[in-house]
Amino acid sequence: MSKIRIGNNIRKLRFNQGELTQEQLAAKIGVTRQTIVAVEKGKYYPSLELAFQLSLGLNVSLVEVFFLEDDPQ
Amino acid sequence: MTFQEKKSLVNIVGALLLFGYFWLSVFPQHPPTVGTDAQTVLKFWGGTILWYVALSLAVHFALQFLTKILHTASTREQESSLMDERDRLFEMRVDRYSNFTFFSVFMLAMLLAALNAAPTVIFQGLMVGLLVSQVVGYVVQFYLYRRGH
Repeated sequence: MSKIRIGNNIRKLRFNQGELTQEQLAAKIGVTRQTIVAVEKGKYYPSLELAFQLSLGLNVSLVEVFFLEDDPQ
Repeated sequence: MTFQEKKSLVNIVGALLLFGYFWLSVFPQHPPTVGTDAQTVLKFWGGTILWYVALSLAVHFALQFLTKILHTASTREQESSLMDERDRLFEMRVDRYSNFTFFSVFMLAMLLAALNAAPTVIFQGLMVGLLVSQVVGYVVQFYLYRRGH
């Protein structure tokens, strides 16, 4: 099975949410700022639970936060 | 450097210093192997290992507390004490490497026991194993937090 790469729009969405800082987003969903940094940079792929928490924290749907990079379709 | 990275480095130094103290001050007090009954030898090493583990824990928590204060003072950022899924994942990886290291050294000590090595050598080997497993754990922790994933 080939490895898939997942991109995200967290930085853009934070900006759209009135320039929400990484610290504020982290506090909102109950994780550390370093985890937000790692997810935002694409270094760490969050669990499904955290992915949904991120989408709820940013007030958007999950597909607006994450997307498949090199999507074949 | 993040708080977790600083914490790992400080813990490595703390573990090495504590072991150095034991190596230089406590180990030389061990009873002579020849002419001492096994119970006295075992009592010394049992007490030493318990004392070392207790002090290791105390040093670990004290350093964690001090690092947190110094980090907050230098960066003016209040470091959160919560553990999220990424921290737990890192902790599991650290435990895996640390446990594997200790198990390997433990087996080596048992091999020495089977080969009739002196109790001093066996117990010193076990304590070195404790130190190495601690250091391996902190190094892996530092590496994971440095890498970010």
